[in-house]
Formats: sequence, structure tokens, C-alpha cells
Amino acid sequence: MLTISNLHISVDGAEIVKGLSLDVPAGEVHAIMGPNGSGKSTLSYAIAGRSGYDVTKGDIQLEKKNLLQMEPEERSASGLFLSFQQPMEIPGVGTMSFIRTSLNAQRKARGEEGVSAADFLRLVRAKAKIVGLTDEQLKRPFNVGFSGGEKKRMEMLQMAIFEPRFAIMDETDSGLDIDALKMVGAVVNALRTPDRGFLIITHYQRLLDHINPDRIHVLADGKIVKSGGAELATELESDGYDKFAGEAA
Amino acid sequence: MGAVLKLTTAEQTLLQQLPKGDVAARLREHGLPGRRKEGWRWSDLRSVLKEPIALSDPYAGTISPTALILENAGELIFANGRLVGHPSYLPPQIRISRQSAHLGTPGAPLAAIASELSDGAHIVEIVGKLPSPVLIRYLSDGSGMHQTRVQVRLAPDTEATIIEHHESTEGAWLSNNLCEFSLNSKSHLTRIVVQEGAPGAIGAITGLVMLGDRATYTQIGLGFGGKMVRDETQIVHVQRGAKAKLSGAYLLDDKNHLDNTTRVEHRAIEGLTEELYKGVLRGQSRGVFQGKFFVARDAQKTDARMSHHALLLSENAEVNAKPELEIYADDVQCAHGNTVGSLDENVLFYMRQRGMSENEARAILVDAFVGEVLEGIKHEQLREQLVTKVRDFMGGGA
Ligand SMILES: Nc1ncnc2c1ncn2[C@@H]1O[C@H](COP(=O)(O)OP(=O)(O)O)[C@@H](O)[C@H]1O
Ligand SMILES: [Mg+2]
Repeated sequence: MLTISNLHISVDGAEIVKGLSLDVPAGEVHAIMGPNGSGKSTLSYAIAGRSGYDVTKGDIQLEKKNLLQMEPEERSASGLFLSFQQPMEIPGVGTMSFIRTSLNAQRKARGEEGVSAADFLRLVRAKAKIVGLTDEQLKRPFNVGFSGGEKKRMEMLQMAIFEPRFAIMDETDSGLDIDALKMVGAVVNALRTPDRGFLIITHYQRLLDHINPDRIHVLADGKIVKSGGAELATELESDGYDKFAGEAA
Repeated sequence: MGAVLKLTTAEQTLLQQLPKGDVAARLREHGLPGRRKEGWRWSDLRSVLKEPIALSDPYAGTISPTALILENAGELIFANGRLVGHPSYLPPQIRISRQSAHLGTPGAPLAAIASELSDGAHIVEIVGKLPSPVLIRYLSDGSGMHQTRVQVRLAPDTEATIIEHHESTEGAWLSNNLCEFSLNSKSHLTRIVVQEGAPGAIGAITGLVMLGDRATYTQIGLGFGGKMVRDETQIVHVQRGAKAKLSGAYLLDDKNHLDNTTRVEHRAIEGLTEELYKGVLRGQSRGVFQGKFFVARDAQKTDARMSHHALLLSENAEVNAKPELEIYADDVQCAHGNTVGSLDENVLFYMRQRGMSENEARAILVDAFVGEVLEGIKHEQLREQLVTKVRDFMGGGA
């Protein structure tokens, strides 16, 4: 489904990701763990097409489509969703209007009909309940004045509404309490079907307890230095990342 | 000193039109305002006006139905400076007359010229609560200069909304409109000024506002500029406890130039002023914002806040901003803020990740930015039409 081969990414001329290969087949959930600064967010931005994250070598394909030749919004319409480590606040833009405009932009690009205001309202109400956002919060400008945890709920709300084919979740768990982690697990698990894939970026095992990933990869210094099954998370939790520092160098 | 100013052709020909008197003498001595004159540094009218200035012929075009649809609005139309037709749908609370007696000469140089050449003024007297707004349309075409002087007088406890529409029409004209407002005690006026883009045109809109005891004045502008357009507003808190809300949005493209200059004088106690201007600039456009608060020694407990924020959407657009406070009272609260920036790339990327095209994302952000000004318009039908104008501006691609 998502196939990355020998990917090199430079930011401001400095190489951050240095030859990364990864294959997440449809129906699977993979996790990427790694120390701060190892390039996890850089990888997620490059997959989503952020300018300034220059792919100098290598290739990224989603369902056999070359993502590198697509604009960010085209990648989105192809079913790619990125849950941001630091979601944006957008003053003056209402939450409902923001999400509906997004959804309909994706649908329009795929040649589908837009969702009516009434249908959208029903959809948002149902999903907001699951992610734990109130009607009052949905009436505010997008993310304005929200806590870190509330912004992560807003990311999950959008993921639940868009139902992307492939979602990258960049530290969605940071700043969330136990109940919220369960909610994130529930949103992921509800979307987990044979034609979807997930890449979950995290430092900790605690989110993975609710998700039970198919594979775990360790990213250190811009490369995947180890891959394994779910048990690898437990190992990392007790031993830390120190021993990978040498392997990456 | 000593050297006599060499007048430009425009100034010489303008001088021939002016009756002898102070205004003519000032023009002969100082010329038209330009970059050497205080308050005109960034709007060099003197160098822009090169051709000889004649008075405009009567309006030659047809007077189209109003471009702003306002149900039940009373309507006054000035075309090339002349009141045309009969004012329509005017409610009984309004009386319009023409006064040719001299009404005094304002200090602003273009306003002074307008008052001198317009031979008196159209007086709009309003008593009571207006059930619907009054639209004043300003149309221009052809060439040459034309001017109007309109004086709006609100009786005590009166409530009114006046919408000025300076419409976009063809030609290379110089339109000079003086709009005066006197608000008696506890009267409320909302003045909305829509100035459409007119690439070849030079224009001045001078609003002079006098606030009486506990009067409230709300001004909301939407301007698109022209070859050189100056929208100047001077507000004086003459009596205690008045409130002024002064705001404007400007959207400039190509080589358009718009100068928003404001001066608010607090001469009485407990006056409140809230000022907010927001600009969006593309192409090689030029925006000017000059805002001044003057607080006299006796104007204690004044509360005056000013902000100006501009978004530059192209590298060649330019904004000059000068917020200024001159305060002689000690028990006051005054503040000003000014920012010039561009759209946040991080936010744009976030929106594109959600599926919006770059143009759509930019248009939404500009809408939201300008929305803070336009949301002050209570008249829904009008607000929606102005929001559409903002969308059309962004529709051309950023
Ligand atoms: N926009 C940027 N400009 C400069 N350096 C950056 C930028 N983004 C990331 N980096 C650098 O790239 C490296 C990887 O960062 P990042 O991908 O955010 O790591 P992680 O998400 O794994 O914590 C860090 O050394 C960081 O300082
Ligand atoms: Mg990160």
C-alpha cells in the first residue's frame, strides 16, 4: 500500500532522512518509534508533500501512485491523512465550515458529490461524540484556544470523518490521558479494514497497547535500524533507544 | 524660505478655477499635497496629477441601477459631482436641501478645494429613527475634476445608517468628495464606505465627523483603491462620552494605491475610540495607513485603541503604516498595534493536507482576516454582498 524506497530527505540543505525503506501493506498498522530528532516528523511531512522537505533521492508510492509528483491536496484526495504533531489554529474560520470545506474538496477532487450541510451535521455530531468534542467546541474558530489534547481530538475527528485510505499519526498520543488514548485506539480500530493502512509515530508503548500494531520499526538518525513485531515496543520501553545510537552511525 | 514654489500645470489650471480667497492663496503657496507635505509622504498627489485640470463635463454614461442591492433603501445619486434625478424612497425622517451659503472651510487641503468649488452643500437632515439605510452613490466618468459636499446632520436621539458607494467607472477623473457628519447628543450613525477599484482614477473621500454628547458613530470601509485614492477620516469627540468605532478593510491589486488616513481628536472627557484597519495586498499595489489619536488635556478618561494589520500576498506589494499618539491628558488609556506579514505557510500546508487547493486555502484565510472588519456590518444583505466582493478579489488567484 505505502511503499517507501531508499528515501533521502533534506531540510535546509541538511540531510535528515538518510536512505529509509518501508512497506506498509494494505490492512496493516505499522508503528515507527525513535528518539527525538530522529526524523519521524520529517518523514511524515515529506510523505504529505510539505515544501522545504526536499526528497533528494528515493521514491514514495501510495497504492502504486507516485506521491512525489503530487501536490499536497492531491495526496489528500488520494486518501492520505496526516494527523499533525502540532495542529494549527485558524482564527476566523469556523470548525464546521473548515472540516466540511476539506471533506468536500477531497470528494470533489475524486469526482464525488459534495456532502450536504444536513448530512454533514449528522456525521460530525456522531463522530464528535466518539472523539469527545462538544457542540460548543465545534462552534468555535478552528482549534483556537484549544489545549494540546483537544487539538489531538480534533485531528481524530477529521480522521474519523474523512475515512482516509492511509493515515499517518504523528505523536497523536502525546499530551493525552488514558481515556483519550483509548479513544484514539477506538478511532483507529474502527477504520482498520483490509483496504486501509496506518503509520503510527510514537515514543511510547501505551498507545500501541490499544492498537496492537502489525509491525514496529525503530528510526534512528534518519534510518530504520530495526523492525519487529509488537513485542519490540515492550523491549524499547524497558531498554530505551540508546543501543540504536551506535547502529545508526 | 524665500523661493516661490513653481506650480505644476495641474496646479496652475486648478488655480484658475478657484475663487479668490484663502484656499486659492494656500494652493498658490504650497501647491497640491505631495510627498513633502506632512501627512502626504506616501501619497504624492502632486506628482501623480500631471495633466491640466479642467472641471468635468456632466456624466455621459447611463446611470445603471444600483450595484448594491439594498431593499427599501433611500437613494441619492451624484454623477460627476451633480445630484441627478430625484432622491428616491426617502423616509419622512429625512429632509434634503441645498445650502449655498458658505459653511466654513475644512483644514484638509482636498476637502478645502471641494468646499470651495462645490458652491455650498447638500444638507441631509435626519430626525428620528430611520427605518432603513440611505444609499449615496457616487459615479464618475470621462475626465477632469468634480466634487461634492454633503453635510449630514443628526438631531438628538436619531438613528441612521448611511452607505456611500464610490462606484467603479471608466475614465481618468479626479473625484473629490467631502462628507460631513454632525451627530447631536445620543444620536447613532453607521457610515459604510464602499470604494470600488478604479485603476485610472484619482479620488479623495474626506469624512469629517463631529460627535456630540454620548453620540455613537460606527464607520466601516471596504476599499479597492485606484491610481491614487485617499480615504481620509477626521473624527472629533466634541462632547463627553461619545463612542467611535472606526474600521476599514482594503484589498489592493495590480498598481492600485489606497491611502487610509485617520485622525481622531478627543476634546471631551470619557470618549471611546476603537479603530481597526486590515489590508490585503497583491501585485504591485501600495497601501498607506496613517492613524493619529490626539487627546487634549481636558479629555480625561479617554479610552482609545488603534490597530492596523496588513497581509502582503506578493513580494512587490508594499504597505506604509504610521500609527501615532499625541496625548496631553494624564488619565487615559491609549494603545496602538501594527503588523505587516504574509499568510502563514504552516497553516497553508495544513489546509492543503486537508484537501483544499492552495488558492482556496488562501481565499479562506483572507476571508477570515477581512471578516473581522466586515462582521461589524449589521445589515445582512449588505454584508453578504461585501463578503462576495472579497471572495471575487481572491477568485482571481493569489
Ligand atoms: N524546518 C526545519 N528546519 C530545520 N531543521 C529541521 C526542521 N525540521 C526538522 N529539523 C531537524 O531535523 C531533525 C529531525 O527532526 P524531526 O523530524 O522533527 O524529528 P522527530 O519528529 O523524530 O522528533 C532534527 O534535528 C530537527 O532539528
Ligand atoms: Mg516529531
